[in-house]
Amino acid sequence: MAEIFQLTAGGFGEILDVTSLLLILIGVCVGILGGAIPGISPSMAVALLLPMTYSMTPTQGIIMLMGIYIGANYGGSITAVAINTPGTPSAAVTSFDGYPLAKAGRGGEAMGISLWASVFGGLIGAVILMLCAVPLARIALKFWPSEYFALCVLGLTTVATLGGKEWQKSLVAVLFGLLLNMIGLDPVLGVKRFTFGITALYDGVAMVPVLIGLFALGEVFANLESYNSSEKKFEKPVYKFPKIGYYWKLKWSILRSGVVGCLIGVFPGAGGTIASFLAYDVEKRMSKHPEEFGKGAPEGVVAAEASNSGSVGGAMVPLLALGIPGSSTAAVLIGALMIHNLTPGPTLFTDEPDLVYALFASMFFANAFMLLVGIFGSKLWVRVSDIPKTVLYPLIFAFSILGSYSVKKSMADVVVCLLFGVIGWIMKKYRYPAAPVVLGVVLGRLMELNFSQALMVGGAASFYTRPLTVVLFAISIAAVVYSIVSEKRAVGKRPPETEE
Amino acid sequence: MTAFAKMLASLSIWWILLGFIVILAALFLVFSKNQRTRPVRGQLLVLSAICLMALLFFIITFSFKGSKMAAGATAATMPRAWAVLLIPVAVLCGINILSKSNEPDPEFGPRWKMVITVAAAIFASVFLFKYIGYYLSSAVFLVLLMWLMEERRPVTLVAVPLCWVLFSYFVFAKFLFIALPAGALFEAIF
Amino acid sequence: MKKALALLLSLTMALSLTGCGSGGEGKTVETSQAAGGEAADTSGTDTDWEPSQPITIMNYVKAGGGMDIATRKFVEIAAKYTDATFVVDNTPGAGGMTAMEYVLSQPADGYTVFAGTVSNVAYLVANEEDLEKYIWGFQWIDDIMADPYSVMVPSGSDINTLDDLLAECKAGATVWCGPSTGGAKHLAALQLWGALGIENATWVPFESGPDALLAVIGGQGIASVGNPGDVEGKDLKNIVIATGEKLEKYPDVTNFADCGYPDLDELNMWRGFAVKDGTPAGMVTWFQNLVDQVTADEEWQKFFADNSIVVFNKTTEEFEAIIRDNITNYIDILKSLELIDASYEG
Repeated sequence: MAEIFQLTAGGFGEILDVTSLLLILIGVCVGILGGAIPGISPSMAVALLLPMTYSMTPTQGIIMLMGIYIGANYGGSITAVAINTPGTPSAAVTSFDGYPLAKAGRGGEAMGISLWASVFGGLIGAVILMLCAVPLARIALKFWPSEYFALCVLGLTTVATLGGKEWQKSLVAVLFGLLLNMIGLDPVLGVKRFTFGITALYDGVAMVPVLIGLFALGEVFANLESYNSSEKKFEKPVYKFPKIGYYWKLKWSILRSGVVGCLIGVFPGAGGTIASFLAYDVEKRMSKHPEEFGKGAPEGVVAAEASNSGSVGGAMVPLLALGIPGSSTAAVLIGALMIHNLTPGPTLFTDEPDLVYALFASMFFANAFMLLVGIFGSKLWVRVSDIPKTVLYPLIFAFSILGSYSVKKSMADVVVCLLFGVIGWIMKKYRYPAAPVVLGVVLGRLMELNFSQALMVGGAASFYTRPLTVVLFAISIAAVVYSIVSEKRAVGKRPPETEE
Repeated sequence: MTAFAKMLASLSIWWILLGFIVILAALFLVFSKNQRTRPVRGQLLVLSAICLMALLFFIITFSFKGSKMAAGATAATMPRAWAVLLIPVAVLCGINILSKSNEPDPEFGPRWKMVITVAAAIFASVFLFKYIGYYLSSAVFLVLLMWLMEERRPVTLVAVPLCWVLFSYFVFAKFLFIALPAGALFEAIF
Repeated sequence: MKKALALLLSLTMALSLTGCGSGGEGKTVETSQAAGGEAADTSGTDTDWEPSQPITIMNYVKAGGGMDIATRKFVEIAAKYTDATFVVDNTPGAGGMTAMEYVLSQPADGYTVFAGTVSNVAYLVANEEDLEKYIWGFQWIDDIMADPYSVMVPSGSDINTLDDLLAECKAGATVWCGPSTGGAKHLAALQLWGALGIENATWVPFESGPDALLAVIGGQGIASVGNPGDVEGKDLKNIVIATGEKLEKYPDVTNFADCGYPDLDELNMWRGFAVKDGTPAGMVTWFQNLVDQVTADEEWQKFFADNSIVVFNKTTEEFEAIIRDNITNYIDILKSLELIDASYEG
């Protein structure tokens, strides 16, 4: 243990010069800007600056890219909070509570929470990565398809807490998401399913356009419906960021979510996203006022952002300990290492220890810089609500179109985005929640692939003979039973419900 | 079944959409006739649309060809599983919607016609990308939407689309190298 | 507050400017520095074509994928020999069809180049697509490398040679983990199994190559088919590599000829460039000359030798013959497995 700290101290020494720090700062800024533009994913942001690193030393290159990765993961939350436009599935979880907060005139609070939660979630992820990379990697190796499948089932159980009063509609919505996810080539045999001759549907319905449509456009359509040009803005919008003491009250939420994010983020695939849903679920269950979730609960924002940032550390575990990327952004980092003639994987620790520990150190610096840049930047962003609606709404449309087009330069994605804008509006109107749809779309393919793989690798027995799988299933069942029991109890205690 | 499934799978998306619209319109009439379903017809229609999609998918799964490679699960397994799972869930949801304690559909907002206009305009604008290009088409849409929202200040009406076009050109096309559709018209001119 | 806002605005502007400044030159774009060597004038007199705008090289793999790395390296080294600006772009989706459709939708002026691999052919055949459009709508101008296939197992495995593996496979059913069904590596595995007489083997497809390797390291399958360089940095070892000449980096690993199957040493993945059919001959010649220069570059050769990939430049005629060969092969295999319709001809 002491050795790790010594080596990390060496890592700090390695990058404690103006050039390195400046590179991390540039990385963080570019990352935040990129992340805040819908349609630019963290992996795209990293890939964009990849060529710049050719002329740098490997360490300089990799720490700058790491800065972008960390910055971009946070940047997505800014638009999610300010204009309900999530650029990634995890940012969608941020918007569940961040946007209602901003809408209620508490934008400063929401921005502040998402920033501090991101920073500390990221730091938690970095610490866990530093201390436990090897044992965590061993767990990742024990995760076979049946475990992944069970993890997905556990992810699905979070629909129980996403719903609220009309839980039947949540279930319908999650099945809608899962069915949507069946569109495209099936993940095992490559059979074309429900593509109706459209090439753009071979990979299924793209995630980002669906998110932007459901959340951003659905919201704008709904607002336009009762639009009144003479209506004033918020009575007293609170732009002020809360004092440090306020965040201190959220410390346990940040810690829990950061740890969940990092641990689940270790698993390649949808680790980071499942982590945000699970963390959100955990926070809602632990909360004394679960009914506020979805309407602007600070812990909801914390859960999404701390777990999302914690997953960065998690995704680096398989990269460093096994040579396998833990996320699509980590895959770009692997490419960057290879271009510099370095071999990602455990041999890095022995061949290039300086680089590895500089990388760890850079994660601390990047998070610190993010706090600084974020405090300034989000103070600017929170002013979005000052923009008159006659300008803001048209611009949200324009951004949505540009964002969904940029992902794959595909007009089909733009049409999907608009279509889901209308669907989002209708669902919102008739009180079908959109969050479970996202859950279904995130989990569908992963579930199907792992279900088939589990059958191919170990037959049906894999689902009941592998201890880890059984444990995960048990947790899922417990989660559902707990929800039902606690709901019954609450109903028993509660006086007859009155309209809110 | 297989023949019917194959026929459905080979239909173009437009026919499928048309079918959806016709069936949902019929259901709308049915729901509107009944005293019990009338106040919640919107909620019922959303549920019906999702069920219809599940039904369509379920039938189409019969057109998938088998393979020697399939082991245990095939391409049809999961779509069928979700479609079947939807039956009890939809029944529960339907019962809940029809129950007395359920809130009726909300009224349409005063500006719902504007929403329909905006939705139509945005689809039209995207359709026009191919012909008049992204820049002109989105600028026109921006002006139109602002006008509909009763923005009358000339400076805003000019500045917003102009800034947007400049922003998307310099940031996306020039800086990020995301070529936006230029449109047949401009390609013909330049 | 106003002051703070002004400060913020200027800060963000400054930041975006640094972003632009760095990005404008470094980002996806490779502006040549014209340093490190004069552009050897091999273009000769048969071509006057010179690029007058940036050339986009469109990848169908995500950033960080094999072909993406090759393209980026290519552009980096090409800067030594030309002033032309290259933009490396990625449009993943539908096994390359999205990127192909994008390139086909652009004018045939040579400013959009498709970076393809044998996987595109495999995907198109496995999905019974129109090859006339997706393959022959292009002119395949440069095949730049061959990445040999290899069979790999976990480092700790008792299997050390092909014979060990065959013994294991004859003893009972085996599970192999790899990327998608009908993909190039799966088809290579099927060719191997056929030639080696392996029956009862199941190919478990994973979302990506690395995911499949993780599964093999974790012990889910007996082996995987990949490229020799895949084992680097991971708990994996090559037991046989499909290559005529032994690779410098793995002198002790046998090739198939050593085991008595010399034909299997022909199995490799190509990566190369294509332009839309109808592109001016001048551009093609210009680009092929550039590829010649890059291929001869020491840095290029060393980079790929380190990654156990054989580099060369096979131009149109030779390249397209290879592709035709791939197509016939793939159609045969997939038909025998009933993965594609018996009536499909390409």
